[in-house]
Amino acid sequence: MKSTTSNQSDSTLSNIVDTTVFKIESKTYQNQSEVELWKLFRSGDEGAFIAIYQTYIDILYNFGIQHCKDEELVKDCLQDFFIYLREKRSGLAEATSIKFYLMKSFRRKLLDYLKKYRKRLAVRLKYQQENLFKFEISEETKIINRQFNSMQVEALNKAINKLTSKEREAIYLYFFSNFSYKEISEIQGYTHISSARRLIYKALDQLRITLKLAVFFICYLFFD
Amino acid sequence: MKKEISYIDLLTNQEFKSWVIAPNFEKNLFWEKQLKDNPKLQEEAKKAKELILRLNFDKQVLKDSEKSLLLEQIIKSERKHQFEELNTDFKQPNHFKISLLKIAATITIILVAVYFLRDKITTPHQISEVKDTLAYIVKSTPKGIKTNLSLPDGSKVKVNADSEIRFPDSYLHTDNRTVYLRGEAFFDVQRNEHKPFKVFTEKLEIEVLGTSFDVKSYPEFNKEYIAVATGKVEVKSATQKVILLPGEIGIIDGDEIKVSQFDREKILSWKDGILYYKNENFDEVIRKLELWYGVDFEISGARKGLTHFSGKYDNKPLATVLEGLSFAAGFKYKILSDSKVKINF
Repeated sequence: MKSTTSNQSDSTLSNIVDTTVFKIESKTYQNQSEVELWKLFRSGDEGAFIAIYQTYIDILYNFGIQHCKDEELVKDCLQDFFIYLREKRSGLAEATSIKFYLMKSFRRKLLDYLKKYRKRLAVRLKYQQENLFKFEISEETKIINRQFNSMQVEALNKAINKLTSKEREAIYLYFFSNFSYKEISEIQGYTHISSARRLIYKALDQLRITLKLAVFFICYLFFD
Repeated sequence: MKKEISYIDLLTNQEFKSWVIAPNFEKNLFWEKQLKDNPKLQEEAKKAKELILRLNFDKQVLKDSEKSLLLEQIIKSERKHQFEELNTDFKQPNHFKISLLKIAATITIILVAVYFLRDKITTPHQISEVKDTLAYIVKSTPKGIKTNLSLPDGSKVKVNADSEIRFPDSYLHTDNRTVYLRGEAFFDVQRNEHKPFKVFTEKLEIEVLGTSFDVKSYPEFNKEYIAVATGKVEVKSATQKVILLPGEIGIIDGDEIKVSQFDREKILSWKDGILYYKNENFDEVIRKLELWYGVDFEISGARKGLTHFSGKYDNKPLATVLEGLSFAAGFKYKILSDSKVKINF
């Protein structure tokens, strides 16, 4: 009894020192499994919270920026989101993947936020709507023996631009965040797993068709 | 015949994609085996791999400084919230206050112990549970015990017996260095022009940049004052604001602050372990002894002898003090085992 109370107050006291202290202390959490880390956080462990914050802040911020290019708004929303998590920590569900849990709940919070501020940011958001989850096939120089030539890549990028923002988000979650179809469905709020799968199939199929056409076009150029 | 697997099929295959993005030993083993004797599939895999690796999303990250600031705000805003709640609690009527103080004192005894232990622990301890409600650090002393306290900014505080000091555990991260006091304490404040040091008592708000001063605030005895040893101090009551200079004391009277000169020995001796009273009446002296030695007096009989007393004792036991006092006041006394003293005139 006595020792647990001492630990509690010890960590409270370390709060007053500096946040850099947390950086050192969060290292002890790196070997914890996600389930354990999440459990610790829910039980009120400050070090676990800092460890979670430091591990996922970049991921969440980047995800937020894909939804809305307004950096201040994303930061505000992140702040609110983490405060909310801390306030509700004991009532939060168990999580096997912290990243999944955080991205899913943060997305919901962010969309509410955007809805709330839509009027205020109407003009900017309208412009942004077209730029959500923007991606391209890059001129990655590290890859040798390229399978796709620059003309194909250009055609692909044009096709990518025609994808809907939902499709682009699904691709982001699939290839960038490395989520499964099941997880993507849940994050995007679909009731059925196949929805996300269909979304990605459809998007990729459009790219495939574009590529075929591009190949056809190249042949046409060369042999005509 | 089996349909040829295209790179699109591979891209939509969760296991393949996840192998490209996050390969590990197990996945390598599996996919190398799949591709080994199938040159056609290898070609398609190359294409799929290339597309995944060339997929480029807008990447934006926060600077490290932005991340720490955000973290600070997250932790702070929650605390601020709790702190406000606590403040309102403190304005409740007396019986509330006392029970809250009891809880605070209990927490504090543990805190105090840990606070001292902390310096001795060199390796950072793994943090375990933190109670959400501990939004501030409380340090309180029972009767008979004085203590020294170092604040996170290096300021030193001597806390007299039967006193309590609270400060938010976000002390260093707020615009002001804020401390709440009930009882008596002597502050030696580390100079910081950018962060004023504030002491709040029942009726006073004291603001300094760096100086030393004594504050006494026992609301239950209707006695509040601030005495300045060095530097300059700004003191506010509900209706008034005064600047005090060294040697000056501001005594609160209602909402008014009365400024006068003070007797350094009388006001400041306690912090050097010297029990000192000068021309004080019997009740005042008894109250001082109760505080100083942590005892309760039981007084009987009609008073006689002198009405005002003076004395100076440097770290002397209670018996020595009582010996002198009993002679002057004309009483007999008995020190009982359970911190009780019986006085009979």
